[in-house]
Amino acid sequence: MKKLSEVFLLKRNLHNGHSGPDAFDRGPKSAFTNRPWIRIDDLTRMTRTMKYLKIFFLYNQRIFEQRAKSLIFFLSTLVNPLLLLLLWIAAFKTNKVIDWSLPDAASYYLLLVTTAAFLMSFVEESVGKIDIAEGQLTSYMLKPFSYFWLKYFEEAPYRILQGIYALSILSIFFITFNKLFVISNSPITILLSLVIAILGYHIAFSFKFIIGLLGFWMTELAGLFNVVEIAIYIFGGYVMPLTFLPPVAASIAYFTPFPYIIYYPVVALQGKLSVTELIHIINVQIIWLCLLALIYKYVWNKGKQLFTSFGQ
Amino acid sequence: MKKYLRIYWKLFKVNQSALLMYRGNFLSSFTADIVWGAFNIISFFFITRKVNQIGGWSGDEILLLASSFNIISGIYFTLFSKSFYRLSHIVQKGLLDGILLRPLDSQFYISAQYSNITKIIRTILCIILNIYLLQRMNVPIHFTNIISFIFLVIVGVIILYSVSLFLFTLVIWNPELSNLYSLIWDYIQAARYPNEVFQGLHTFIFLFMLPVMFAVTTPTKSLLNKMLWGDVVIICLIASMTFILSRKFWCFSLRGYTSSSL
Repeated sequence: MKKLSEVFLLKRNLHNGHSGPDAFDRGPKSAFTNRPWIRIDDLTRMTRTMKYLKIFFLYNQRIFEQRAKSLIFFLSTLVNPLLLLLLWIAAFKTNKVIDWSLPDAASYYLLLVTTAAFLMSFVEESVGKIDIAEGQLTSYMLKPFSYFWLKYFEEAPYRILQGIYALSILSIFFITFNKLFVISNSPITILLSLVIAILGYHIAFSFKFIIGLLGFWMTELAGLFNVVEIAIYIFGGYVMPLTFLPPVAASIAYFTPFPYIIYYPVVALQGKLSVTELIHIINVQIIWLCLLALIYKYVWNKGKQLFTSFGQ
Repeated sequence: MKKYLRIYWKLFKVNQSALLMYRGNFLSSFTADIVWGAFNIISFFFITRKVNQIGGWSGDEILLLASSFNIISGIYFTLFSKSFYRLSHIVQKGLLDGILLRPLDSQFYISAQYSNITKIIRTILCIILNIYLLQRMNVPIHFTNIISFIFLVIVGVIILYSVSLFLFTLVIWNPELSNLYSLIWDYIQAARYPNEVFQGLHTFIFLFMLPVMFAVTTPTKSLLNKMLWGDVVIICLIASMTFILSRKFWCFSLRGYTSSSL
């Protein structure tokens, strides 16, 4: 088999105009071995990665074409946290809120806007409402790629553009009201916070993807999407930090994946957690990711058997 | 006027029949609306547990404000939101041409084309919550309060309708802004916050927030017997000005409509 693959490459090089023993040397060097030729499985892996990257760049182009639309999405996620911040500012004028100061509140909501823009995926809409309900899934299933990773690379450019908008707003606030903005200055905390944020994005994406896949069983998903969105708002720390929730609500929140998406990345960046706590959160996030991967496998395998699509 | 009322009633009946045909959609819409209405109240409930008062409004008064917001937004959602939601699709697909050719006022048809009776559940539940909260605060409910509240709720709905129409008209200029809906909804949600929250904002932002600031606080103040005659004058002025402006902007935008679909 190995020889066959090498012969195949030799033939390709000859076909491209190379000849003799030189043909191997002129071929591209494998990234995986020191051999001057590439094995077929290495090549397949490379081309697949390249194709995913190409998909990413294609969607990147499309999203940057629709900058205005994306800006509106970002602004709509910006409005609510800013209104809540204004409410807290008004509250601070007449109340003394234990364990929370104005700089804490301002940093919390501004970091919330930024992390939400980067990390909160909305893939469930396209999976459930478009791909499954409208039958677009057929075109994805016929492609030689994993549906999950295709959607992953479709979603990533959205998050990047939204994140860029959020960082711009954050910078303006930072320059204008730098005394109100508190962020950790420890490099290890920042580094671990970034790890938490990256894992948070993957939890959000996997969770929302699974919710979208429920479209295999349900014809109308709007109600479910709304319930999930509200659960994320409350238990994910959108309204206020989880420590401010009533004890019952807070204890429910800690048993869900929602705080690990937005809340912990925010408080980690604020420097509110010790290194031990940060490592503990990373461990829990990894457990959640493994659990979600298993659920995804099960739901996808069961669901795709139910899917039928036809057309002319 | 009679003709328009008759058409409106027919459209309303057709919409509700279509809604009931798809039970799944009906239940889903019903659930979603109850959940969002509850969220509006719960989020304020959590905040008021931590602070006694905000800008002169006590915890219960803030909950009453959020509940009144649900009453007004419930009516707005029942009557207009679906029509506005579909506006970008109508413009994108060139369906506006057909509407403009009808022997009807285009603004009327655009606003009344779709309605969704399930959204009224939010209003009904929050009327009950309002009564409970007023009793808990020992605020007497007089007939005059009820009448003035109903009148101001109608004025509030007119304000929400007018600002929405004004902003949704932007779709005629840029049909790709199909997601304008979510931004406008977030803007409207500012109405559930006490006016005092917006004090000290930059003048431009303050003016932008002004219409929605009064749409809900004034009706709520009327229930709490805290309303001044000046508040009534201001809310009526805002309602008439926003209505006239949105009408003018709609007509002006139609002049620039090129009838080309995407």
